[in-house]
Amino acid sequence: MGENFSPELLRTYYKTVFPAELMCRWLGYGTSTAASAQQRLLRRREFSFTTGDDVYIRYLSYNDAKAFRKDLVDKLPYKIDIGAAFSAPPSEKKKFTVFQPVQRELIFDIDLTDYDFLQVDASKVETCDACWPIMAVAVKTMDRMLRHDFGFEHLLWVYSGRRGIHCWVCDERARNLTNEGRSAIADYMSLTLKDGRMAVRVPLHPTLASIHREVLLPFFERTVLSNEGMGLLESEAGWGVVLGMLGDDALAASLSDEYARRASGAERWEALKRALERNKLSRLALELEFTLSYPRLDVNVSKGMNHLLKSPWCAHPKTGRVCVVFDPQTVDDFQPGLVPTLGEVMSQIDEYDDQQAALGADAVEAARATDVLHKTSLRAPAELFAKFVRGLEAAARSTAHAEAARGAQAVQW
Amino acid sequence: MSAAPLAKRPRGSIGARRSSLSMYAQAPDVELAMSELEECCYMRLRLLRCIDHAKAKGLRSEELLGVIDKAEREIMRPAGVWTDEELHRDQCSHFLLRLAFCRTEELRRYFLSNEHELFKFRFSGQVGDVARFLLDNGMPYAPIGEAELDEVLPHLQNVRRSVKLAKDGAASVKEDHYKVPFEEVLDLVRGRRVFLRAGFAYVPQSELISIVGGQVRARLSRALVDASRAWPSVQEAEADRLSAFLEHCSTQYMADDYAADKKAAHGEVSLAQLPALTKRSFPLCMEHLSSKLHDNSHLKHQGRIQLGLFLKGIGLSYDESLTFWRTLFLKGMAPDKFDKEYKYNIRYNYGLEGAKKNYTPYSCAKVISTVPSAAEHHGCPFRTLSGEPLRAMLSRLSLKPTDVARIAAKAAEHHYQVACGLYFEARHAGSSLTETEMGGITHPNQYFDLSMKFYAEIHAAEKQGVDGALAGAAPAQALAHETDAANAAPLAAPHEMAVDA
Repeated sequence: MGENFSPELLRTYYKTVFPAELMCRWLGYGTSTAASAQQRLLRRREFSFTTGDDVYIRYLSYNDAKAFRKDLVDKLPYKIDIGAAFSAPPSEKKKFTVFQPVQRELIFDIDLTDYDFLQVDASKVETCDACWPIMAVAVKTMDRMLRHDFGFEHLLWVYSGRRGIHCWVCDERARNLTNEGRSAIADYMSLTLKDGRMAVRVPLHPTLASIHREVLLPFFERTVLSNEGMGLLESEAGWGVVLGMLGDDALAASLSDEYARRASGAERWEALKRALERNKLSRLALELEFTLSYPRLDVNVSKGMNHLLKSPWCAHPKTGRVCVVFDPQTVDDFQPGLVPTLGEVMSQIDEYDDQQAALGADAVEAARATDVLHKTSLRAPAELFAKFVRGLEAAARSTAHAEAARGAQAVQW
Repeated sequence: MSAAPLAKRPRGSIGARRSSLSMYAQAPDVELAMSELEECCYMRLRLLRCIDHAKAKGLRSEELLGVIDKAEREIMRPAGVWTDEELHRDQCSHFLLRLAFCRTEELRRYFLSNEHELFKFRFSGQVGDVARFLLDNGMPYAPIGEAELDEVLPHLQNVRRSVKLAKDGAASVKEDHYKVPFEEVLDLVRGRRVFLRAGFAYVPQSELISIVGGQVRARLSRALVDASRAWPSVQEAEADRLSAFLEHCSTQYMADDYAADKKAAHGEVSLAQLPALTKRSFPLCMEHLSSKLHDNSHLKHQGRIQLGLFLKGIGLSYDESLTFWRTLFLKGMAPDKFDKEYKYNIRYNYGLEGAKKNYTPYSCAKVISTVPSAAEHHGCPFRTLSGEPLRAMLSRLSLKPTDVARIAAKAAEHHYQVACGLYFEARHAGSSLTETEMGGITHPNQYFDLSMKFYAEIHAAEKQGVDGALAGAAPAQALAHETDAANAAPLAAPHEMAVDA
């Protein structure tokens, strides 16, 4: 296999593959054809680039996809970040006395490195891939809370290219949240670690109870404990970590002895639960189940309007993998190892064109007209993204109708 | 907030027909002399400050309401009842202080949070006219219907049990609930103290204050932002009259923000002194960060900012600060990586990059409010560690078991700043802090300054008593002696750092 990531690959990628038009339609939220420039959201959106020599350029903004793509090709950013939509175009911010963020998606960032019990070696991407199931649990948990509890519908889930995931909640209501609202949601969704464990109150809040029952426990039994999964209680090192979380050395020592005699992770877990019950510490077992499976959010990312987050469709410079969007419904089937790198994307295009060339001139003509993304394994995520953007545009169109109806219903101030 | 039934609280005083409860929607149209304006502003400031102190001491619920009740009586209405004149003053002072506290984020936060508390107190003391008040202020809340209530009742009861709002028996009582967009009850959302479905929060009658308080807060927050936009023109128009007074109000009544351009009381601090000072005079939050930094040769972003700004606040120069971080980080990474990824951070803290603002060190309120995730060490250890890890850490610092127990107990009661005050006392034999009006620590740099003052006094006393000949010795040298003698420091390699500098 050739190289995964290089400035040359990046140039071709930005020039021909990167879905700049869709990106701009997304961030335009149905305003890209608005009559007055002030109404067009895209031009007030901050982009920032990190270049190959680590120069960080903030407050870039673009009028349309053409300008965006041109600048990408000119500057070849290794990383693209997206910030808030401001009261004025960021690139002209010096001209305005008032320049402040006016809307911003509610964003979430989950990174494997926050799961300290996993001992992931971030430098080996395979070890990160192996831990994907725990990311999948995070996706299912958060997707459910955001939709069911908060009523959000337009959730864009993105693989960050190496060992994490991002979520962009794009509903208008989410974009208009105050910092305080963001921080309240982040606190609602995250559990704090106390003494190395996630503290939960019993009885559980109904939301946590159903997530525990329907998402966490099945994962815990099938993946955390099972030998086919992470097998956390299969090795002495693994159960050492878990027993350490008990914060009770005597109990841990006695269990450790017992563990050596037990055959499987599931049996060891049962032994732990029985021991805790005997000691009237049943809640600890529940807390361990949460600690070892509940998502660990980087809440600081979510709490402010002005936090930047890496754009979908970037390529991760360390792995070369494209930051693709994925469907939370089928997150269990997502395999980070199959996400193409820039190098692979380019060879897929060449392969496709070669095949068509073998078929004759008509096929070559047809290939020329084909969306270049459709020649690659980025096709499925690109179609998902396009569908997502259409959903947003439809929502924006119906807002006008809904406004009248909602105005009558909602509490009036 | 406790869920004390609204109707149970006695009214402010017998026969008080008029109410001070107000959303402050419209500025009053009354004429008052300058001196009167000033006086009523000072009165309100005293009240807000009492509230702020009570909160810093960790008072909650009924205790907090009690303190506000007492303070409000003494300060705002000595006669016991609200007279028309006092109500006017209440209105005027609120609107003037909006202007005084609109100029920076920090000021707005101070004003907003204390006014919010004051409103909640007044609302909780209100009896018959709550419904009227809500209606007059455009909050036509009505309970959800029977059918919907029955449908969600099991969830509502589970929430109440999970937050111990009610005993198991009481939780099954069917209480009226209000259905509101979740944005209106953020404090209930934050604590997972409410049932949410499809963007709506189901709020029990007893938590109505949460909705109303949230509204007040949101409106005031917007009003403050509006005021900040209007401020430049007000400032100009009132240049000869109110401007100076209003500016004075906000600076005088805020706690010292330890901005670096204010000269630190103890003069500059040098890199060579740092190891000894860390051990002797750093508050636990900074000591903790510093030791993690030494252990790991790394700190995550928030930790770098919290410690970095603190160091700036105690008077470490930019150059020395850079050397400090560089020396420690380079044990774990290549120099060019440091220069590329971390130097910016330090320059940023000193206002040399980015927004180029002169960032002020974090106050306790800010530090306490930040929650570190795994592998992060910022925040307030009295909050983030608690329990056994906290006790272990305090014991490692060779505190007496009795002190450890006292401090951990305060921390467990969520009185983090009081715990910090006790910690100060434990580390500064003979000092008393918690007994004084101050109660607890409000700012990590205040802790440091108090410690410096404590040792300066001891030093002065010793110098007088023991050896007059040393009178010429600079304080820095005195400190350096102490380093060698007293601290075979557990912190890594202080000398290396000094050499590098």
